[in-house]
Amino acid sequence: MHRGEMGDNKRVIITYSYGPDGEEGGVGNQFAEELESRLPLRNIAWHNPLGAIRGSTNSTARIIGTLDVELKRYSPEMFPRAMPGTLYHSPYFLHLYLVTTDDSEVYKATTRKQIQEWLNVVANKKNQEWLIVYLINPDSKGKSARFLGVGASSVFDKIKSDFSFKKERCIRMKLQNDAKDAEAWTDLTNHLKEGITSSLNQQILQYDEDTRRIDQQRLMPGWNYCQYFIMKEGLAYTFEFMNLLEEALLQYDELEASFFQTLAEQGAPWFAKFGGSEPDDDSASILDLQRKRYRDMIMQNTISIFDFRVYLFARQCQLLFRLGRPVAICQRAKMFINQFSRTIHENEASIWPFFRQAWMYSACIQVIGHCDELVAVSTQQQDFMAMYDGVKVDLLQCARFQLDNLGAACGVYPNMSNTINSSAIGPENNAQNGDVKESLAKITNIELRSSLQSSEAFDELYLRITSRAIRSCQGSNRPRTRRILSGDLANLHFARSRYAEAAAVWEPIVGQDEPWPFLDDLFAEKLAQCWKMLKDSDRYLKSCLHLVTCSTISAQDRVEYYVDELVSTSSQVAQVLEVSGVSILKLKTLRFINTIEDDGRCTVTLNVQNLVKEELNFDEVIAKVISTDGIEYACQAQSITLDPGTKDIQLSGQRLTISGTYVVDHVTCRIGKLRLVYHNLGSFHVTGGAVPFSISAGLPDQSLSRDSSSMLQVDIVTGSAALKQGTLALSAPTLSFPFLKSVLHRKSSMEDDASHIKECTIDTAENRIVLPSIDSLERLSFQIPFQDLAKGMESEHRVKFSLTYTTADGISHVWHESKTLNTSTALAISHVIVHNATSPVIRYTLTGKRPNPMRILGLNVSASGAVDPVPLSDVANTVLYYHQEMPVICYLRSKELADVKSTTSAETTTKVQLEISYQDLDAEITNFFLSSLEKLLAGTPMIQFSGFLIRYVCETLVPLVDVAQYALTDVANLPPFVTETVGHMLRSEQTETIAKIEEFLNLFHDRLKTSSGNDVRKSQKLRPRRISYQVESPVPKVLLAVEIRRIDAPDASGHLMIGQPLKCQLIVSPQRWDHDATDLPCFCEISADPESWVFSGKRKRKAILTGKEPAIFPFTIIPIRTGYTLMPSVVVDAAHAKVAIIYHTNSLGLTVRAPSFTTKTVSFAT
Amino acid sequence: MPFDVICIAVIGKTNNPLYIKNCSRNAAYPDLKCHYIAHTAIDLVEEKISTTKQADQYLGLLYALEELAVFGYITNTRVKFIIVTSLTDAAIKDQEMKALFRKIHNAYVALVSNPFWDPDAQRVISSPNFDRAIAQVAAGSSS
Repeated sequence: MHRGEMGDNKRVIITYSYGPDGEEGGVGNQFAEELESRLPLRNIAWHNPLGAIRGSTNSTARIIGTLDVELKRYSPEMFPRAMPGTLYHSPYFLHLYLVTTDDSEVYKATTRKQIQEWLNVVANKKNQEWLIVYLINPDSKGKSARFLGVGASSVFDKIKSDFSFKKERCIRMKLQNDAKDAEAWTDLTNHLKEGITSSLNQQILQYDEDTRRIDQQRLMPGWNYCQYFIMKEGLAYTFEFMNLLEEALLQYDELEASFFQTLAEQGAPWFAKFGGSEPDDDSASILDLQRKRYRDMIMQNTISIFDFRVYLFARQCQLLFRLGRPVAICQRAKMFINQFSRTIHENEASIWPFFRQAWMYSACIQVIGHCDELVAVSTQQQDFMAMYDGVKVDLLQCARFQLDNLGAACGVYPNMSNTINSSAIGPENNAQNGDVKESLAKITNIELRSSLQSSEAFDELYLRITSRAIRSCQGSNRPRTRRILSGDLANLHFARSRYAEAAAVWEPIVGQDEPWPFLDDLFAEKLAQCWKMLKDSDRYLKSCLHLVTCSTISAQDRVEYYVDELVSTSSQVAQVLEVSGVSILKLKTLRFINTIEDDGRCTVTLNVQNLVKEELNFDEVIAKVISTDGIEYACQAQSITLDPGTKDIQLSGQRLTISGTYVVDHVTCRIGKLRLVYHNLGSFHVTGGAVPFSISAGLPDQSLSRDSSSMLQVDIVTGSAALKQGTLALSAPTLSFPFLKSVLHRKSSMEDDASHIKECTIDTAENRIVLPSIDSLERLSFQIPFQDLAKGMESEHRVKFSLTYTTADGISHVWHESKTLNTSTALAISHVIVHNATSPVIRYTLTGKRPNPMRILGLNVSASGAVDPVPLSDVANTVLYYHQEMPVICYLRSKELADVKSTTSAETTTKVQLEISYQDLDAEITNFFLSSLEKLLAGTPMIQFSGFLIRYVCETLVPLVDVAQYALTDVANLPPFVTETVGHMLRSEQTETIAKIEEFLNLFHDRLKTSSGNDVRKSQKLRPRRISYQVESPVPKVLLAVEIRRIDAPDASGHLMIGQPLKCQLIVSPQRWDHDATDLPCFCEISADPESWVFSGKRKRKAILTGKEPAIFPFTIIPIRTGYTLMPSVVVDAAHAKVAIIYHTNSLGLTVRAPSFTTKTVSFAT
Repeated sequence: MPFDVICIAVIGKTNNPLYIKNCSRNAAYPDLKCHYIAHTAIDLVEEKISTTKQADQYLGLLYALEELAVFGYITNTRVKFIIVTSLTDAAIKDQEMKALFRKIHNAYVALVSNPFWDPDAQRVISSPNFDRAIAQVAAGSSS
């Protein structure tokens, strides 16, 4: 249908007429052309007379924007003759008569008569207006002015008087071809408008009166709806003429309403039949008003219900079309088609079986086609387009449903239960099939009929319509409808085994943001079937994964099927599929146990809830545990079977050696190549360090006092488990460890003292010490040099031990721990050498430098050269406290000559070495406890906890013992066991193990409550620590004895009298002379206290010593004070390094007395 | 009432299905169809509330298929109720439909008033009381 059909433009007609005067010079024609050029009329103000009558509140004038007016030359025959029983809708509204003559005679002679004739016809026309236009021709105007003066006006006056009416029906127009013309034309058009509206109002009132009259007779016998319809439609037409489309539409709406009303009240006796039986009725355009002579049929009462309804709807659409409202058309079409389809359904007996579907399909498609055309030529807002798309979707969907039904009937539409139109089901048997085919052959819609011929053609149409609907859904923002329609599209592809196409449609609509589980799962299941058919294992696996968890698939066999599929597909897929957080399982970490057995493991207990209603078999479950340092550990279990419900599973992995917080980062459950990953399963504090060995470091057992090169001794003691290999690295902020190529290490068994020394290499790449394999209960010691960065300012250093080791079972572990080391020497030793005539004496002083007391186990003095040291002090088993000084005296006996000779004569220097063996008391106690532990453990199952117990002894137990008290009383007291002390170490342990450990420790504490020093010492297997101290050259080459000897013999009493001169000799006699030189110069100085002595002789002298004879220097002293007086002291300076001097008399004194009181008389002769 | 209720649906504020009840005893209306209709009805409810300044909670007829009519209702908390009825000759009066929706709303209010019911949990309604109330609404309509 073209626009002409729809926009069947009816126009208001104005006729014009003129007599011969108008013909003259073509004035009339010219006027008509002029008038035509000023058409259409614009802005006509109109008051609805019905509005006033019906009490409409809208009393303001309607403005008719434009009104198309047709200008027609009048002829008396132009009015059709009204047929009886019909109603003619006159398009004539206004008649004009032109008078151009200004000659009264001519007027009188002919014009008046003509006007009268014209008026006889037009004035009798009902509801039509007329107007006489007196045209003053500008050309003739001049003439009349010249000859007649007022002649022109007299003709006008005559006309006025001749045809005088109440209303002004005669106007005068002066055309002068200038600006005034416009005014004149405006005046005329105003008159035209007035005339037209007047005619219109008359018509409206007339129609209204007529229809009301008929309406009132509704219940009278013989009343006919069709008559009423025609009458009311006349009004609608009139409105339509006047471009008052909304008013016209209102009339039709009222007609539709009254149709239903009368139908309900009286049935439809005036309709001949239901109709729809004519050819093309099913496919012809429902909007085509020209298809049948509808109006005639109505008037003749021969119209069928079908035609009537179609006509009414088409008229409504026509008006809406002219109003430019495609949305309203579609909405009405939707309502009408659905509603009328039910009417058709009720009257199905009178028509062929599939008429209804074919008609609905065609109707929907036609309405959309028309509206699309209308939309295409108009520019519309986006909102409007969305609305239009929305209503279009409904129509397209309706059309598609009909297509489904027809397709199903003829067998080209596959039976699909999952589409929205699930009622489209094919015929049940073949007998029906023949009838169906016959009926379907009656379909006249070519497109529809051809689509029902073959599946391909059907699919083509089905896909086209559905795709169109989907596009409209997109435009109208109806995502859900679109989803459903897409699903239908995919269903068809699927039914036709076009799996790739089906999957391409389903894939994007599965699992959208807005969940609707029932539909999601439905689509997912279909998609899974597509992937299976397409042999796309990877995607099929994903789909199965989704399906086993979806809530809406509740049938046990379906779940079972998908679980089986999941398992079988997971082994077939090419790539590993890792998905996280799938709700197949629900995991929770229950416990995190790091066992303290020597061969212990870390166990993670997971509470797993199988959300699938089927048994699941996992090949492997791995938990990744991450420490705070970022080191990853894995705990795993193989072949786990999970029944529906909850189950606890245990995953075990290598033991954690480092304490700290561990996060169960994720758990991976593996079936074939499918990995289900679950994250964030909690964090746990784990006590690590339950290593099967104990490591300690300190200054070496053997050390030299005042040794500048510092060494650190590292001891590793194993428990019941052996270490296959390992590497150790030390680091400390205050110490630096130089790069080493190799170190020597010593390995010794804890059980027997047989030890051997072996070279151990260093891993140069990472500066780690590669440890040899260490058997159980073995001690490995080695020394490594270090430099003190603090340069002795601090004696305590924090050292971090980082050890990687492999236990006998081949599992490698990492362990690190920080320990505080004391690098100060345990003992300070100093010495003084005292010479005497026979042999020198060395006096050592030992000073305790550690807060903890130590036990001096013994000393050994050895010397090289001609002396044989003889210690004079016995210090064995004495305890040295902090800051305590302990003297050790040793004299150096000269060896026998023979012995001397045996030594090389070249050896001129003599060294004396003091070696002190000692033991720190805390080490002693530790050792005692460890050996006691060993004895207790031997042969018991508790040996598996040896690593933990050794650690407990070293770190917790020893600090409990008061070492000072032990030193003083020689009794080691162990306080009773307190559970809390091990609590933090056993935090991540099973309760049974904790109970066992506590029981054992109770026993251990009980046994070792009081231990005597003897017991402690008896058990010592420790090598005592030794410290050496070396003194060089204690024996001089030249030994001089310096002596002051009295020459005169003292009196019998031996006392010296005050003032009594005392003769003395200073004798410097060489005691030993190994010096190469034969003479040795030396300086002697005698210093006598001047308050005690009066000195006579040389105080200072130089002497040359020869080594053979003593040098003797005489001098005399007189005491001048009584009492004990020290003899003058002597200082001899030999000015040679290898000379030692013994002063025999430097501290010798004698007593000076006053002379005895005697009287002596002296007489002088006179 | 002169019509049959075929389906009653309660849809959550995030357009999640809370309750879909297929009241029809006709095999031509499987549960799937109810889901399809309820799901697509959301589009129309949204269209309706976005295009018009809806003052009334009752949204009226959303759309009509050949033999079905779908009506909507929205609560202040954006929970949507959908009623699908069979089309009969007699027009379905808005007043009757509103009364049905009011009953459903009352049942929903009673459900939400349960302190153990979490309206944000997006859980499907499984309350037997609610079930009973809806069954009454469905049965009452056809009586």
